[in-house]
Amino acid sequence: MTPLESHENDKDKELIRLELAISIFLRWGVFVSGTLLAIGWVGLWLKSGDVLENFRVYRPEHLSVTIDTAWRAHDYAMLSSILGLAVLVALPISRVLLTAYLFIKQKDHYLAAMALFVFFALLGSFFLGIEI
Amino acid sequence: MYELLLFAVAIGAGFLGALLGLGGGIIVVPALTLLYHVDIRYAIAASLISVVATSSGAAASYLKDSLTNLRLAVFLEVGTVVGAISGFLIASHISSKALYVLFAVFLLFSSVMMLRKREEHPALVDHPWATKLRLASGYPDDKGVYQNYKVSNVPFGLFVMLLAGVLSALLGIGSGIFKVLAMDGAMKLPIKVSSATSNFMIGVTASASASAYFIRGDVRPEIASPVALGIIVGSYFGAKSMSRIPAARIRQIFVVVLAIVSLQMIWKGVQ
Repeated sequence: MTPLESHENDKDKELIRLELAISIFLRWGVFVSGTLLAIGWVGLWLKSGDVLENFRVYRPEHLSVTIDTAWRAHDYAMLSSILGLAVLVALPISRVLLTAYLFIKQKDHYLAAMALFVFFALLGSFFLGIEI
Repeated sequence: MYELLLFAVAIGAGFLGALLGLGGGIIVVPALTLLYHVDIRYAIAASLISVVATSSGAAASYLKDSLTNLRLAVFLEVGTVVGAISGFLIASHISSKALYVLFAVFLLFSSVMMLRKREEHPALVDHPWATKLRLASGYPDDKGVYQNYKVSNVPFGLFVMLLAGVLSALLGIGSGIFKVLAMDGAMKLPIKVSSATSNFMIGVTASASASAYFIRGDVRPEIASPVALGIIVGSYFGAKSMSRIPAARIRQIFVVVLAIVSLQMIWKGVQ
């Protein structure tokens, strides 16, 4: 018996369908991110070899500087890696927004408000990384 | 060659992380700092990325199998995200040595917690908050029969989630053990639901701080790419192997690993 078959209530069935939609969304998100990271990593490795020893000392470099440097140098491997990481980081944030949508559709205002709070808190955390 | 080895370590971390519900970060940080001598701030940032990868991959399967309690996860995520942001703000003012010691203490704590014998002790009544928010649900047991369960001690569970969020940002791990312990021990949920819901939440906790580290530039693609890729591959095979390998045996092995690594971290921190 599948979870869907075990629920007779139409509201629960709708919830499970949306859970499955989130599941598929996450699966594809991880696949896309993984592909971009693989392309980027192989490219970086072929170009520069092992570079881990360069990170024994902490040297702060803002993301915008890294992107700008890679863009000017046509370093597409670095850009692919950064894009893959961006997709990966954005996945949970997008998933929370989908969850909020799910609860709004269910007219579950408490849970929808909580999901939206989490969503905006995640967005706010992005801004915490920017030095104003 | 070193990066290929890091990729292999990450596969192992993903495999064990998926089996134990830890997200993999608990292996990645010590590996990067002790084996490759990478600065702990880069290591923490890379492991946060790997936790996000593990969580998203595992969540897809758990949601499909109806093991994740979505309503409870959203409720508890409020605590974990607030804690994670607080942890990030604290982390900027703490030295690397202090992070080593903090991380070592957390590993030792994890070892002790993993030695505890787990038994199912279902809640008989819902906490009033659980009733109000309809947090009780059901899940398919080992035989595929749908079992209903209740949720107790909701306020305490929320407090532990906040604490777990702070530790996640400070130590670069998903704090899955705290989450599973809170849901399994305090809120008296079935262990399968606790693990699945914890896996679902650790990605959100990690992404709250990972996004900030990412913008700041601490997530270096040269480190995070092989780590995240390895974790994705390892967690896939870990999830596939879950039914064949006894979890108790894996946990026994992992307790020894955690104890050794934590002692090494304490040594590094006090040097």
